[in-house]
Order: sequence, then structure tokens, then C-alpha cells
Amino acid sequence: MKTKKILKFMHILSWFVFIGLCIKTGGILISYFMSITTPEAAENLYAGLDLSEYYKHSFKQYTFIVSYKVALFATEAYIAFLVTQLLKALNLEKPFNLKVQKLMQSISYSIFNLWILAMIHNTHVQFIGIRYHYSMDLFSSDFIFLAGVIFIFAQIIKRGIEIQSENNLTI
Amino acid sequence: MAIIVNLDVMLAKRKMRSKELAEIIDITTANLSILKSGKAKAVRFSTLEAICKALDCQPADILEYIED
Repeated sequence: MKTKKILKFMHILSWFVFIGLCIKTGGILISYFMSITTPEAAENLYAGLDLSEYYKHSFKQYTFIVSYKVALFATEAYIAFLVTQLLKALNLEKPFNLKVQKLMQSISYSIFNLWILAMIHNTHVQFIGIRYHYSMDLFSSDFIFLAGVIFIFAQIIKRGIEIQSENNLTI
Repeated sequence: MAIIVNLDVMLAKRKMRSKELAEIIDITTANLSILKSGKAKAVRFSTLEAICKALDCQPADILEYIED
């Protein structure tokens, strides 16, 4: 009963996270398009995100950095959405079902993609930062460990489904 | 599946219906249907024993091996 309440709370929380990340991604995108005609917009793209240094240096570099940020936050939003679907599909009476396993696998692959995007973003930002002495706002790149852990859980669930299926077909 | 379940043959010989057999051996008609159709992955010895007792037969009368 307590577990059900916690999962229900997490489900609601994950929806808030998803909506928040969508708003963040959309906000940065809109601010970017505004900054094309109004350079001051680059000073505060969303919640204090200041990329004006890159804007003044090169619009092309600025576009690259903004693209990375949008891609990263969009991927995070997608992962949050997958988590909402996972919590919706989770049934504690029969936890081992194909939908849960596929969602966990999708989440692990998405986190892996997030790690790759973060690595590309960080490499590019560090390159420009060292070359032109700009401040470096790096993305955390510890996602690979999380992706690995979730992938392992997904494989365990997959094996659990096979065992449950065999058990169901044992007369 | 190489193991064939010839339950229908024995049920016809004993003039018993599937529903009747399911009630006697205490399994659902759905599970008995899974057994008859060859979709079952495994059979417990306790179930096999109950079937043989209800139909007064040997396991060989119900189970047959045909190479794939």
C-alpha cells in the first residue's frame, strides 16, 4: 500500500518534470529565434542562461551551442515522458510485462544518447573556452553509468518475463 | 513442439467432456485448453497424475513424442 502511494506520487512528479523540461526546451528555442533580431536576448535565454559571449564571437558557434542545449533538454524531456509511461504501465501484481521491459530499455538507450550529446557539447565548449578564454558551462557526463544500470535492470526484467511466461504455461 | 498431448482421444474413449475433466482434476477449462492445444510449456507430475487417475490411463496414452 505504501509502495503504491509512493509510485503514484512519483508518477505525478514525473509529469511535472516532463512539463518543466518541455517549457525549458521551448523557452530556449523561442529565445534563440528572438536573439536573431535582438542580440540582448542571448544574455538570458532561459533562467539566466547567458550565451552572449558566443553570440558576440560568432553566430555560427552560438547556434551550435544553443542546438546542443536544445537537443540535451529535449532528450531529458523525452526520458521524463518515458518515465511517466513506465510508472503508468507498472502493475505491482504483475510487474513483469513486455511493455515495462521495452520502456526500461528505451530509457537506457535514451540516457546513452544523452551521454553522447553531453560529451559532444562538452568537447565543443571546452575547445572554444580554452581557445578564446570563455567561461565553460559543462553538462554532467556521468549518464553512462546510469544508462548501464538501467539496461541491466531491463535485461533482468526481460528474463523475469520469460520465467513468468513459462510459469503461466505450466499446467 | 515434439511432445503431442492426445487428451481429446482419451476423453472420447472415456466419453468425458473437457469441462468435466477440468472439474475433476481441479484446473480451469482455459488451462486444460492450453494443454490440449499443445501450447503448454510444461506439465506438473501432480497434474499428469490427476489426469491419469480421472481417465484411468497411463501417461503414454496421453503423451506422444514425434520428432520435429
